[in-house]
Amino acid sequence: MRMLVVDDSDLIRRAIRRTLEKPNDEIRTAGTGIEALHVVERFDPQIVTMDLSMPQMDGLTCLEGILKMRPKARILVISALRDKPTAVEAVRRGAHGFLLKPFTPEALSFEIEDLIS
Amino acid sequence: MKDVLRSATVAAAPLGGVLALAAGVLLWSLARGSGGGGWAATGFALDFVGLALLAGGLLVPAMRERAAAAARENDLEHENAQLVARANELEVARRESDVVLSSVRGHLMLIDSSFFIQRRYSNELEEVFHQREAGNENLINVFQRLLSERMFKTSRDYLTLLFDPSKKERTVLKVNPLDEVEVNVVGADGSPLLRYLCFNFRRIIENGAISRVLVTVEDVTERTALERQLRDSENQKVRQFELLIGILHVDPRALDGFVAMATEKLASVDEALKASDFSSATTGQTALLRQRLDVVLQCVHNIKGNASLLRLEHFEMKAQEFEQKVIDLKHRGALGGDDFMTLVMALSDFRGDLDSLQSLRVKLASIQRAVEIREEVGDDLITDVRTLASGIAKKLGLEVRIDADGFDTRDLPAAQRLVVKDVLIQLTRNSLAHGIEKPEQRAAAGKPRVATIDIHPLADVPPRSFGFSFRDDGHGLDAEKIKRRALVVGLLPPERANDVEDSEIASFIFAPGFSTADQATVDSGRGMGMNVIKQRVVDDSAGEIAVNSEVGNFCEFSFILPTAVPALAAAGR
Repeated sequence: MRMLVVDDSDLIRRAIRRTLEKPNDEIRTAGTGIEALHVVERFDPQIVTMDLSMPQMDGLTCLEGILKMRPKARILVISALRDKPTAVEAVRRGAHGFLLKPFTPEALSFEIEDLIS
Repeated sequence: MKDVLRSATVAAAPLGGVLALAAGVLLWSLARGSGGGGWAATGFALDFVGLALLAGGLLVPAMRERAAAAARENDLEHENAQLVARANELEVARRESDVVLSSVRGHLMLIDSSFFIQRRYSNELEEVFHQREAGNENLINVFQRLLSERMFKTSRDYLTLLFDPSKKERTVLKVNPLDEVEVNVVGADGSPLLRYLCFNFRRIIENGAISRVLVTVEDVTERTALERQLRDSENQKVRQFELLIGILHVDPRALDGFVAMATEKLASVDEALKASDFSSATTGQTALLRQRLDVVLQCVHNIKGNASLLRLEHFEMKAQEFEQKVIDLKHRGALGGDDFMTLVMALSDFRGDLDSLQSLRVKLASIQRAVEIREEVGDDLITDVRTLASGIAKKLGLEVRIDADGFDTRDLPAAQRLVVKDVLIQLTRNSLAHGIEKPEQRAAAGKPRVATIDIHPLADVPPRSFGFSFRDDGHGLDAEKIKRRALVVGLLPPERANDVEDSEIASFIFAPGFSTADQATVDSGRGMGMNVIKQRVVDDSAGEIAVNSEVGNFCEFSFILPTAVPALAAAGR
């Protein structure tokens, strides 16, 4: 499985990677939306987890950009849902799943399973 | 529920309360596993809400079929029997549905894919929406009336998502933007009301498609208000704590000074803002209002300076903000009375914090007073000794006073202080148990009825050591009694009984298990007291003990304790 983890917090990136990484998986990470788009250009992720509030490029724009390049990618938004309209907008623009921060490793694994099924 | 009503009427015309019955029948047939073939509810747990909803969906075709059958049936008798049976069934079902509906929180409605409110299961919907006719209306219109523009747009998008089969219901439900939404309604008296509503949604799947969405809505204003109150009080606690931390470093008298000064200045600010020419001030009086502002500014600036001096950062910051507000106003072109509302608010806020400060100061003062009282008494070791002595004296019918002027162990290292404490406690017990006579005896011997225990520091001691003496004016050591006891316990060989120095006799009392008391009591007689003293002073602390006693007059113990424990002694422990 090829996965991309997008979050501006290094801590969260590492936590997600630790939870998801299995043998034969390839996980890349990105700290900003722009970086994420660069990664997606070269790397064709099947699954993307991403935050909505990030510096430089907002999550919604990044989400749309990724789906434009890789329409088959499954996207899980992981966010604190501080702004409900943004979350609705993310689902409207094509996010497949939504996970509320803070989250547990179990909840994350469950969401990823749900995304693949 | 119009179509339901119609078909039910055909089938069960004689039955009253048809509407409730119709909903009930569905529940009932579902419970028996006879739910209609093509109907399925997926995407949500079959909880009570789900059941109630299914009921609405199932009802229509099933009832129609039955109604048609009934119409074909000409045998009135047969029909009658059927009706009676069904009436019973419906009654059972109605009771079940009542239970179901009453356990659903909030109010129910169904909307179709163009968001029209189709059915209402609750007549109180109007109440929740604060409008007359909520049925047969588009939910979008309701939202438009109730919500802010941004939330309205979001809710419209959200309703679209609810009917979009490409979006997973689980994901859509997770981002529900209306689970606690602020709405603006008009109250019964026409005044605007702020309420909080909680909307929940569930998809209804019929023939594999999302046919409708079940909506529950509940007024959660009270709950939300409570939650907010709780949050506010938490914040208040945090603020108080920060305030407390912020004033701990400040001298209490300086703090009192600050409170008094700030209170006075705020009173002047209040006066300036309350002045009658303010409330009725027109823009023509701008110059006058500016003058008033200068008074306010001066007062607030003064408070800021004092806060800064005492490093009361919170108040410095507060005053700074207040000051900025005044300056902003000063720079306005024209001023009216209303402009000063912001200052009135700032003033009341500042007052609140000052009140908090004052109440914290009072609490702090009571703690400090408690500490000071202890300090005035002097060494708390002596306090303990006094308490102990008066307790034992009362029990034994003795009268004693402790004279400990000039005795102070507060400069001693903690370890030595503990040694001194143990020694004083043991000696006090011993004096009262063995040395001090009853008041009558004392009087008969020509001594004051009240015995004296004198504890005082020794003046002439080696450097880096602490010396003190403990003296009671009891009957002194009884050499004969000690000698007899020493013989009994084998400390003194019988052959030496008539040939023993007084100093040696005194040393016997420090032997383990040595006691001259006839009976062991709580306060004496276990023979451990003096041995403990020797261990603590000589063995553990490399100190010295001297005993001086005069029969009938006094017994005095003197101690010299090194204030730094020798390395050897310490290592040997």
